[in-house]
Amino acid sequence: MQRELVSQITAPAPEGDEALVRRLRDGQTAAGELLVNRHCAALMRYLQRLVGSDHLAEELHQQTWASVLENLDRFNPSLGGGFKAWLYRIATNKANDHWRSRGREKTAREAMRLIGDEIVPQAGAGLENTEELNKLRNAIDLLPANQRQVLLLRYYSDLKFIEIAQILGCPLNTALGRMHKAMLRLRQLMSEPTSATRTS
Amino acid sequence: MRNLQDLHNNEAILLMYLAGELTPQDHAEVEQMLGTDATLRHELASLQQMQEQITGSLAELDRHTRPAVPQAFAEAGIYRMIRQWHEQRRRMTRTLVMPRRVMPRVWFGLATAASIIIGYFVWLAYHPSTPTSPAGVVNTAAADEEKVTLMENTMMLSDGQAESDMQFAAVMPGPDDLDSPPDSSNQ
Repeated sequence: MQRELVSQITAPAPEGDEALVRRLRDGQTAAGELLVNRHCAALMRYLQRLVGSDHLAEELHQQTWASVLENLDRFNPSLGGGFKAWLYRIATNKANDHWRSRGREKTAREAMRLIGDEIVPQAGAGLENTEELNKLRNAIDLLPANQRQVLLLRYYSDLKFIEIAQILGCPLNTALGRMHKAMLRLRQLMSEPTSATRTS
Repeated sequence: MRNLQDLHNNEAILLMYLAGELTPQDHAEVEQMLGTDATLRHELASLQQMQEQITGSLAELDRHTRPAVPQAFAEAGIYRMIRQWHEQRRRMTRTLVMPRRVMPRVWFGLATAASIIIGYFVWLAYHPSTPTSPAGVVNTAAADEEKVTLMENTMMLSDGQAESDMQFAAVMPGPDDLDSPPDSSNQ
């Protein structure tokens, strides 16, 4: 017990993102791999929920990391937020750029996905559970984009509200207001019958 | 961290309180308000419940949804990208450093030699009759000697001509001699 405590105390603290960025700049690719390993899954999930398409999420994920590497020398942690905030800002901007450039296609694609992309029930998951999850996923999709962004950024990136507000370029109160509205709307949509959720 | 007065409504204050993003002073102030205001306490409980429900549902949704790409596959793609970026960066650095290191003095010497050779050939192009070998110098001297000999010969010839003319004049009878009878004593 005592030995465990000692090992916990003496164990080196995990290296911060900014230190890894410095090492990556110095040519240590292993540091970059550590960064990717640390943020890859959550970032991919964030993009998946944000854009609602696996293929597009993967594309934006790659574009995000390419942009990170391209602009790595310009990254300055002292200019507001750390690496994670910077990473999610790039990802959010990539998604926004995509929506802006392909606004027309988006509506058609979302309509197609709502029909065809259902959650496959897994072993052990009851039908009721699957229905609930489908409802939640559709409810997220039905949120206004600005509310969805705040909610997903908060959940997947675990950034502070002030950092989220900086990423989205809005005042803190606005970000908090959107978060609150998103939560209320989700609760409302979740409590509605399934058919109503789809058509609302 | 923000001052409590900057937050416009109770929801904003409570969200910040739940997130633990208030300053210690603001946090203490909110706790004091919660101790005295039952409505605010109820609001906080409702917000907390809603937040936990949504967080739990999202976690459940992630557990039952396949990731867009298997994580290992996605990571491998980005690792490859990092290695390519690193290689490209290394190459660029090398290119930037190379000119100083690779440009030794020998290149300046070679460049000078090449300029001289080219200049020489250009000069030759404008002076085609000039001999191209050291032997040519000798030839020039020989040619000069030849010229001198030729001139001397010419002069000698002209002198000889004058002499022969005089001899011819001595042998040939003059106009006066044609009238007198030939010298019989010679016959």
